[in-house]
Amino acid sequence: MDCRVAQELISPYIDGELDREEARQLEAHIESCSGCRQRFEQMKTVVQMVGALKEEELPDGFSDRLQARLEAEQVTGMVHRKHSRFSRWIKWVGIAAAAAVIVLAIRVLSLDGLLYTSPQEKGQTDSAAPEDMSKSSMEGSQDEESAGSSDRLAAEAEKQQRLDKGDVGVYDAESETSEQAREADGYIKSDKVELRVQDVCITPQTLMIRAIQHGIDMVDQTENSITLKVTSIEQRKALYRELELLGVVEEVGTNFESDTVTIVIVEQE
Amino acid sequence: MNDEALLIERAQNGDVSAFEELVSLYAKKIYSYCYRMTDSREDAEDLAQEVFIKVYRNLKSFKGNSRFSTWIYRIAYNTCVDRYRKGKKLDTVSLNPGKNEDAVEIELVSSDPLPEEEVIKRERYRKLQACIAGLKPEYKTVIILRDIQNYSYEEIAEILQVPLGTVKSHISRARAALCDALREMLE
Repeated sequence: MDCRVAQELISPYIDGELDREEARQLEAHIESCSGCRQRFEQMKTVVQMVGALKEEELPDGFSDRLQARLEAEQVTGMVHRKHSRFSRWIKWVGIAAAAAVIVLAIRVLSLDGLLYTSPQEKGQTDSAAPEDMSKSSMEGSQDEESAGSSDRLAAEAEKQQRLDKGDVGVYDAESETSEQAREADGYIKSDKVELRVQDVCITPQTLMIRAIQHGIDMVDQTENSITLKVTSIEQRKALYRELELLGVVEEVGTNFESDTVTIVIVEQE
Repeated sequence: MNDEALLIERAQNGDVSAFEELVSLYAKKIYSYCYRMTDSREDAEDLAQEVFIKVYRNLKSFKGNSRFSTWIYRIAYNTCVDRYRKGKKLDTVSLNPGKNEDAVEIELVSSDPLPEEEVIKRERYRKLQACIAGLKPEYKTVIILRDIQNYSYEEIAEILQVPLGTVKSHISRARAALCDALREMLE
């Protein structure tokens, strides 16, 4: 065996990483070559010496200083979350403002119509609804084209316009099914949702605190989920708004009659 | 599920005391690793703390596909190498240790003269530590992981995310460099 090859094999030999044949050849070489034998002995000594180095003791106060840094980290994390909440709040304010502008535009554009229809509306019955709805949706689509707004904004504007007109009776008379279709993203509809989060600090406890603020009671809790009792559509809406601030909400439940909602926290990569 | 896996799961779910237990399990190991990498107690503390802060931040992304110890050493290695790249103290190249903080420490704590044998032992230890710290980062890390922490070649490959052959050759070259640096002592 060549000395250069032998010296390459000494280190893995010490670790038992050579196959039997390589080990045998190296042993035979070391037996006959004093230079490589010396290198082998030196390396063995070095490995033993390094192996004898003990674990270092931690400096006094290491844990306290780490604790302080982690606490600072948590504070920073909270600031970050608040910022993120603020950003989302700004987003909603923006959407609301856009919707308000659209409503105003509609009202200005159809001012004559409104003045004309207004007296009729006072004595309006449910039979007026189809006419009113088709008118609203036409206006909505016109507005959508002119303002380039989304379907959702148009729907919001439409709803708002009808409310503005005092069309409460018609709005309330709508079945829950069409209400769900109108506000597909507005509230939690089934008995189970997944909350996809990126923030490691969001736990079932976080959700419980938010729920309590809306008078929603907790039914059950696990390590990554919480089950809440929701008794009204308002609570479902409030819960949805809270969850949207924390992450992405996805309906996964199949029971639409249940008065409980289980929220499963899923960490998003 | 073993105790460590349970601790990790609890910590991932926001249990602070579980995270503290994880820290206490690994603090000495990671601090020692950083000390061997830097040869400075001050830098080692700073780096070790940085490692645990990164662990805290990224704990949720640990899926258990690799061992937790492998994961935490990978963070430690990357943290030390980042520091090295930023030009901060992760001294290399010189394999001639001079007077250093540990030597001062020894002088300060020993009012009585040390027995000659002890002095020689400490001096050898000191020189060895400095020689390890003087190796290139990829060499010193394999020496620390293999010969001090007793990780297998496969585990080191996983920690450093390099092929097994690279680990083998790095260990071999690192040991050869140490033999050369400590030649006087070994003869």
